[in-house]
Amino acid sequence: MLTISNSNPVATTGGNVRLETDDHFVNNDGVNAFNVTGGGTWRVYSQDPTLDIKGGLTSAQYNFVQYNAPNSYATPFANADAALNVAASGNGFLYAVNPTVSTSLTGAITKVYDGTTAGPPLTGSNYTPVTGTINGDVVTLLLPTGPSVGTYSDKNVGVNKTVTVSGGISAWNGSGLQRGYDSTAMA
Amino acid sequence: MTPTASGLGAITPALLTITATTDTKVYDGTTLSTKAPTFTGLQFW
Repeated sequence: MLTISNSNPVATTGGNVRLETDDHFVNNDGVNAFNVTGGGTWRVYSQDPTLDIKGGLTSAQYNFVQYNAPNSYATPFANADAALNVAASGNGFLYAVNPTVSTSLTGAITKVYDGTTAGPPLTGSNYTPVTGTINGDVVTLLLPTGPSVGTYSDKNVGVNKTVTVSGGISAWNGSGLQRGYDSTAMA
Repeated sequence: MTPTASGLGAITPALLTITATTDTKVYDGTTLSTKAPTFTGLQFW
């Protein structure tokens, strides 16, 4: 456990701060836990946001949350962003946890026989809501739409055929703070 | 690994229309016609 004690902020001038823990982070010093001036930034590498106690630190104090960013004590700070999958700048929390968001197809997916396995046009309503988010995050899936984005399991007339959309799906959180959601394992 | 999403869908039969062709012949004691019907909607795969 990594703890910032009450009335004992982490302070530096002209430098950067990186705190890392293999357990969880606890802030007992409120919104003033970090006093980083002179253009520096602070980063907290932890394991899972659901285990941390931010102690009043909000988006007013940090710029991003990054998942799938395992801490690495051996990585120089100057190289950390690229080496540790950090896709943002400024102050931030980085977590080792690698949440995976999922969707599946739903609704009427039908076409008239045309001798091929090409799927019918799909829209956003053909996809179920995103599952797999954590920490109250709001994540939107970018989905492919239009004709032939799906493929039937075979070309023959029938019902209950598996239709699969492969590729073109990614997780996006709009203007939110969260980054690093994995969309590579859809249901 | 490529992101995928799957579900269930259906493929319904395509419409096939067969139209008889008008024919006349001299009586030969049979019901046979030499005129072939026309087909629309046939698909060859």
